[in-house]
Amino acid sequence: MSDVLTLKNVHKSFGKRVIIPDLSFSVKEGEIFGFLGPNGAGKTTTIKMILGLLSMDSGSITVAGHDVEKEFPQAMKNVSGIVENPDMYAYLTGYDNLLLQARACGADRKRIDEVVELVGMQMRIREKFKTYSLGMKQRLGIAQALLHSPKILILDEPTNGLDPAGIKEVRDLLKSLAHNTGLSVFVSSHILQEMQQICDTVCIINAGQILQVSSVEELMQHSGSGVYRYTVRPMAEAAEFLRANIADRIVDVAADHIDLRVSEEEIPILNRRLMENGIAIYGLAAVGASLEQSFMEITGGGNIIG
Amino acid sequence: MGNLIRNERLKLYKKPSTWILTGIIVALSLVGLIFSHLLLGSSYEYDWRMDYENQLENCTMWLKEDPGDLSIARQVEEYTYLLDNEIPPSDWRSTAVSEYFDMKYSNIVYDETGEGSTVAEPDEETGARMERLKALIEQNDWRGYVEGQIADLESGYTPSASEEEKQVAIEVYNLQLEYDVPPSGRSTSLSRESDWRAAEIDSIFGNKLALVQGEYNGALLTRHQRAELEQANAVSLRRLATGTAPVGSQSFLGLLESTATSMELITLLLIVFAGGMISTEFGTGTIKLLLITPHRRKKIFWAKAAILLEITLITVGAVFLFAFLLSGIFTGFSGIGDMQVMTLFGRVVRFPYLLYIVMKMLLLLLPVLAYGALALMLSAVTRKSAVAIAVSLLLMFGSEIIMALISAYTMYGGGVIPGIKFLFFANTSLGTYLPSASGSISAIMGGSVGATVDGTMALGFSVAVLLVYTACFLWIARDSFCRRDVK
Repeated sequence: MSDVLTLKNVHKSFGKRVIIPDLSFSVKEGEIFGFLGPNGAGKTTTIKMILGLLSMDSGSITVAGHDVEKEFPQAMKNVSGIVENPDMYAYLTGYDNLLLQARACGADRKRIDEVVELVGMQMRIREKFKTYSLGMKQRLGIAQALLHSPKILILDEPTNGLDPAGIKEVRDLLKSLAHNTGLSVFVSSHILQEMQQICDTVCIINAGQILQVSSVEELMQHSGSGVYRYTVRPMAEAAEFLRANIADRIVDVAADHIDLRVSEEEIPILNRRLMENGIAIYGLAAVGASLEQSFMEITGGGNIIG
Repeated sequence: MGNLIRNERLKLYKKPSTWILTGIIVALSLVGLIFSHLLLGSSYEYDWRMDYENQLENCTMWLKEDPGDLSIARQVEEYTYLLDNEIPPSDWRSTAVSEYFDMKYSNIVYDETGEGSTVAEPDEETGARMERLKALIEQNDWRGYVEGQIADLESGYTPSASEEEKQVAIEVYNLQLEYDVPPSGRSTSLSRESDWRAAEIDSIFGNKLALVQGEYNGALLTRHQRAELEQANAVSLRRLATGTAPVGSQSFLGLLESTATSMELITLLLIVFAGGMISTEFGTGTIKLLLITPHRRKKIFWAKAAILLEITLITVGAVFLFAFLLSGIFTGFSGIGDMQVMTLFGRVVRFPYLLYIVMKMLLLLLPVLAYGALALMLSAVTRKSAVAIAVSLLLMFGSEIIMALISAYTMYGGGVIPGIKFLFFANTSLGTYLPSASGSISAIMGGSVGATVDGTMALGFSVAVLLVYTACFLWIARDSFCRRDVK
């Protein structure tokens, strides 16, 4: 499979502040590419450079073989996206908003009907944009991005601010697009679980630098152990016992619970040991592997954040 | 490009505020027309009899208090005569009557105490003149009167400051004879039936006198002002020769012109649209949507500029159309095809005034568009609508005050500030160069900001300066829009 999007030695700084020191990666055809990093990692800056909103100081970006700076119109014919929020003209109807974009990129009215159907908005497309919920705005945003049948779709935190139902909607839509139409999707996020659920490849970025590019399977193996929240009584004895035995597994000791990093196989053993020492377990819940913790693991616990 | 323009049109025209604002601007323009018609056009008629009677009553009262005051006694006699003979102040005879009583009261004899005085019989020559003048007044023979004036000038009976001034006076009297126009009376402005031709001849006299004396109101004439005075005279002469009356400010064309050529409200409207044109896209975040399309940014910029031009033309067209209909309703479209003589680009021309109004509108659009380009530039540079609109409006209104101060400085002896004529704001009042029905421009005073900051400025110069500025504003706006990052 060929590369749809390629970044080569991209460098960008705002004044003296270097945002992206040197970034290179590529996205293959039909791939869902996750771009993962904490807030301020340079994700949106990278996306804006791909879409030509920001100029780069050095390096090059090509979309379907066209240089974004030198052949802007040709490059933009093959890419589209939503940056930050799905902002559109609030006083226009959803249909008029799509019409604007269709005219700008040379799509006909038939294509508008197609994308409206694709995102399931036939019922409310004649209503004003400002009356839509955030989930609908996001869907309409994807619809307008698909109007000119790009080769790659770039989405900046598409699930930001959506409720669980909305997140599932967007996720299913992206999956079906990638698998049914061969469209590549470049999606940025700061939530690892989201990436795990939809992406084929995940690229982890921080401070403008790539920490790791791997398939989702590889990533899952890395974050094999999770964090669990133990609600136990009495607290003092529990904390003392754990510090004496598995101090390196303690993530956090709070007033009424303790967070521990343990693997699934270790849980029954740990539970038995606690009960044997007179500590009662009132609750046990998986907190989930946060991005920060994944970073810690990937980079061997080094301090890279902040 | 066509699609981009259609997009900008859809965005602007489907915004409710666009039409609310445009509607308000058009309505306000017409309110001016209606007020001008109702207030100034009301059938107010100056009652000269009442004015005379009031004057007479006052003088009679003063004379009772001080029976020895001869100047009051003279006025009583003069007003009584004017009333008895029904001579309105616009009539040439009113001046002659005043002259008659000047002679009658010329020989005042004081008694020994020096307190009382009496009017003595004038000498023989004066007596004969008085008889002649009285006869001319009674026969209403203005030709005889004018011929007498010429003879008095030639004989040296009426003193002249110089030979040139004498010749000017004789020339003007001959114009009255040539065009069969009685001289104007003691007061022309208050009377409706005063002859426009008499006013033109008076204006020629004033201008010629200024040219001969080389000064006006104590200020020396510049070469440029001399040329303007000569042009004004050429216009007046052509009007007399062709019998072309000036367009009245309350006529159909006058009303239409005053409304259709006042561009302040249109400028305001364009500043609001242009100031928000680019920055609003940044404010709402839609700029990203707009720029992630397969088009170079400059195309998007020119599409925006084109749609601003379109909405301006639509508004100007609407104002013209409504002003045309409303003026027509008020005046019955009378005089719609009237011709007019005027100076345009240094040439005296005569053609239909309606056509002139349309041309004037198009010319006056230039400063409007220049202000629009300024607002568009600020919109692109600041990316904030409020800042772009506020600064543009501030410059628009503030510059008027600053220019008025500069012209006052120049007029009261400060001299012309070097390079001031190349300033944008010194060239935005193109109307000062263009004649209008309501108060045709006086060659010198003009009331013109542009013309007074530097007497050498002319219409062609200001048009060129405005074009250069507009091009610069657009270039900076386009450059800022196309090059800068969208953060």
